[in-house]
Amino acid sequence: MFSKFSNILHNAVEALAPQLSLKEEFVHHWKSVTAFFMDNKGQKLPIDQTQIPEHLEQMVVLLKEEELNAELDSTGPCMEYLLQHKLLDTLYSLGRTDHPPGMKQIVLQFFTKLLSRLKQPILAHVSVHRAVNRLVKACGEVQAAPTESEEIQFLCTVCSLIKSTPYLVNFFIEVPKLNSDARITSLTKDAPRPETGAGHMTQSADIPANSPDTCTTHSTSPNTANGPCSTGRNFSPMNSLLSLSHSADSRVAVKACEGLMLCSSLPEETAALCIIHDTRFCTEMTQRLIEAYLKLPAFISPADLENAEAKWGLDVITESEDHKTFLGKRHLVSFLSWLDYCDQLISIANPMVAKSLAKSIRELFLNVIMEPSVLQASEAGATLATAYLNRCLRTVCSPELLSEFCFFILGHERLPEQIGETTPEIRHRLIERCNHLSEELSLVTLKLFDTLLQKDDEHIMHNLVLRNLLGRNYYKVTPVVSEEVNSAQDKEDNSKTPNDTSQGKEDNIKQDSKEKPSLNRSSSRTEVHKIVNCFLALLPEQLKSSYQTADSGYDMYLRDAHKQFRHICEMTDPWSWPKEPVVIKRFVVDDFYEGAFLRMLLDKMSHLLEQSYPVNLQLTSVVARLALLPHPNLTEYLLDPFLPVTDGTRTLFAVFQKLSSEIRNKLHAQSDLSQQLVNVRRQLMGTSTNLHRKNPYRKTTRYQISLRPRPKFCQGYEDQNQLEAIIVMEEFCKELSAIAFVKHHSEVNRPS
Amino acid sequence: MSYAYLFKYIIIGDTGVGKSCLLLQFTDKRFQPVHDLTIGVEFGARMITIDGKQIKLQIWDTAGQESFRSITRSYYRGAAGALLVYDITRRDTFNHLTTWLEDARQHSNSNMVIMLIGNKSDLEARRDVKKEEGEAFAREHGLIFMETSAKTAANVEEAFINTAKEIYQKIQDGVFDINNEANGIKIGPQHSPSPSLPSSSGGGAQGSGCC
Ligand SMILES: Nc1nc2c(ncn2[C@@H]2O[C@H](COP(=O)(O)OP(=O)(O)OP(=O)(O)O)[C@@H](O)[C@H]2O)c(=O)[nH]1
Ligand SMILES: [Mg+2]
Repeated sequence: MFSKFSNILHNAVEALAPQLSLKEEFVHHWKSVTAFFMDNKGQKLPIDQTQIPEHLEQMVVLLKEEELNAELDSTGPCMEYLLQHKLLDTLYSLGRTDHPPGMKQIVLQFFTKLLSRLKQPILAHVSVHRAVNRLVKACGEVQAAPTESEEIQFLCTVCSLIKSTPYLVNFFIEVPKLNSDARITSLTKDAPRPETGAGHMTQSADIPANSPDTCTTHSTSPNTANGPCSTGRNFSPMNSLLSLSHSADSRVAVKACEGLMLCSSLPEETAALCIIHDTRFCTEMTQRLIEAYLKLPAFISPADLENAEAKWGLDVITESEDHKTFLGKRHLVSFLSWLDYCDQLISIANPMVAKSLAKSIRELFLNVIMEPSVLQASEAGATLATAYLNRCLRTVCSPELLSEFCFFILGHERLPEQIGETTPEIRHRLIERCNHLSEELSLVTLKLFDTLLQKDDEHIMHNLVLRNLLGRNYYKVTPVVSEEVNSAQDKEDNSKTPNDTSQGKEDNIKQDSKEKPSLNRSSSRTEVHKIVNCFLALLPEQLKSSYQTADSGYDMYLRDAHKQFRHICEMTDPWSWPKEPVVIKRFVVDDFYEGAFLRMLLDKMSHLLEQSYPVNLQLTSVVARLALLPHPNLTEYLLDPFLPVTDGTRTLFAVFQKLSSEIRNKLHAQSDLSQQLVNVRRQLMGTSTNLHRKNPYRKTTRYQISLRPRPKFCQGYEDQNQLEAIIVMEEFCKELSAIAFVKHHSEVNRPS
Repeated sequence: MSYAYLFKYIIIGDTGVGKSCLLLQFTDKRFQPVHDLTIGVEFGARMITIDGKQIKLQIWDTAGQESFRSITRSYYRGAAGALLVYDITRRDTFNHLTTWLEDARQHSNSNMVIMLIGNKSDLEARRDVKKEEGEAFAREHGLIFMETSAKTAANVEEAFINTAKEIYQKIQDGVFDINNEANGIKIGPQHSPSPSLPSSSGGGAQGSGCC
């Protein structure tokens, strides 16, 4: 390190033929700058035809040199001179008048270099931050100014310094004259020490609105920038950044967005409150989201929407590209990237700012724009809006914004749902729409729930299913006596070959379901094989077409289930779900009701044979998501065929059994059913776009298959539908049994 | 100009290691001796040829300063390749690699190709990190490794191009789903996907091919 210093020193000394001190040289350059203005009054030479830029550059070089030579924490003579003679104030004024033409640009560059090259904390000096703040306010004043790039560079440099030393932000928040006199003087007297500066500011008793309590409780309407808590404070960097974020130059705009991220992520409470109450930040961010939303194409194929990806800052799309892909892609990309920007910002912002922006998006975008679009009577319009809502939900990951989306779609309710409840309207209508006559509308709505169930927010699972299961009212408590029967049964089963899945299982099921009691079911290996077999034995062997066309793919389901389950456990782990089924008092009700969502799913499951292939794929995808969730009540309700249930309780397995007997009846009536199934399966595999493994049911291909055009109203269409449904059923049974197996396995291996 | 593929890269690493200089050398074949901190993200692009195919590289040069760290994370998400740079004359920049790598792995897609770069190889006299150490780190974490000099241009081309080759190979192997734009790969105009269908007109539109 030392060698570097002496090296530079050596060079510097060599360069100075007459042995001037650094300070003398510094003053010389400065005098040359000011002399220009004395001598050239009235002349309008453009800046680059003057020596000014060169002199200013040399001044920065000298200051840097002085800093490298100096002891730590000491102010050198050049810096002393700069501070004492208020050079920056003078330069600011010269830049402000932009005289000679181009001076503003040069001044901005000088400030930027000064702030970024020097390591000394000069921003804490009043003569520095006062001039800097003034220059900050001079940025973004004019739209599309020729100095935009220098302005944004300067602003971001300031923001970056504030970000690394957050108390500095207090120098950039101006309190209006009325109640600020005391503060200004206390501030400007000397630079506050880092440890006390911020605390001092927030505790100023003479500024009542500065108190965090009064503000956060009243922060109701983010749509009025100067809300009830506004004290008219001015956060100049924020305002300048906001105007530059509109720049037509995408590089300037992206940097402005970065600057906004820096400011909004400051830990200082004063800054956060000021952003929320005294700037148009939240409203403006939301407004731009809305503007972008309103430009979205009115027609878009589900696949295009699904595949479109836009990450803020990385995706700039040109009009020519637009025509090469699909019309309106540009608008879709800019909407999604702006949403992504808001989401990213919220995830790193000060929690108060994050909440406030999320709330603003909820109130102004979701409630005002999205809700009526989704609820509109026009099927086409509603389908499109739901698809967009679904796409938004995929992008949103920050806890605050995700939470607002969930509350918007599902409402806040956490206690058990009653039969016939119709509020909140949007939740009620969406669940209803999964059964809509328009297949497109029900598909897209199911898809929305599918996406919801993949999001990292406990409220989703709780509100949709758990609140009606936590009372365990579906469970029928049987006398204790039968416990012994159970253990006897277990022993018997142990003697069997555990992998025997092929035959004679149906009888076992009936027998078991009668006798199986188990209050707190112990998890034994036998039991899971019984469960697995139950699912696998639902369809008679003759109707399993997968064996005829390929291997059954069961390994694949196991691998998939294993991977997904691990993934899901990572997500649900922080929610501390119980390990064994629970009965929680406040969720106990008189009569079991599974809730509107589960009821809809079970209803649809029971109509599997009448529904189209795409609907069935989407439906089973949603049910599989639920089945994967590691909540013991949900697990037993969905996956335990032996669960003793109260009268009137319908379980997934019961629905399956009914389906199974329907299908068996068909088999009696139609002797060539097996061969037809094999044919249909081949057809489905032919249209599958999955290159890795040809399986008509794979999750990754679900959506793509559902999009394939298929002639409707052909002869035998109904039959075709049913055959496809039977194939879905076969695959779904495998999937569920794999899930049951994987879940059980992890339970056994769990360290308790 | 038309291209077969477009790859998005980001350059990451501590401040002062030479990220901007590497980019400048690659795009403009110039060297910039003064260190002006990158403030916010900068952007560069160049066309290269691999396997006879034109490939456009879009490169995001990030700010190494700590204050930009959380913002830089946003850029990981859509990148197909990353150059992770340290300065062979400053051990601290090497020591920070683990943090950078964790960040990158956590916020990027799992297939992102990462090239580890020990920069300033021209300053042999001031070397503070042995080449073997860089190699060992790369081996341990499954990265490609190279020492470069943004000043003399040694290995600079190779660093960018080898990263692209690795991505290209992953595409050939079917590891990257090129239809998913989230991976930081775009297919050039000549490979455009099929035209769109209007969606909200109900199932009827699709049924026209009825027998
Ligand atoms: N000798 C030598 N100097 C280099 C080399 N690469 C960069 N430098 C110098 O190192 C300093 C920093 O280079 P930059 O490219 O600006 O560093 P950076 O990584 O972009 O830094 P940030 O933008 O702050 O993150 C400059 O002074 C360069 O001249 C190199 O290969 N050899
Ligand atoms: Mg840089």
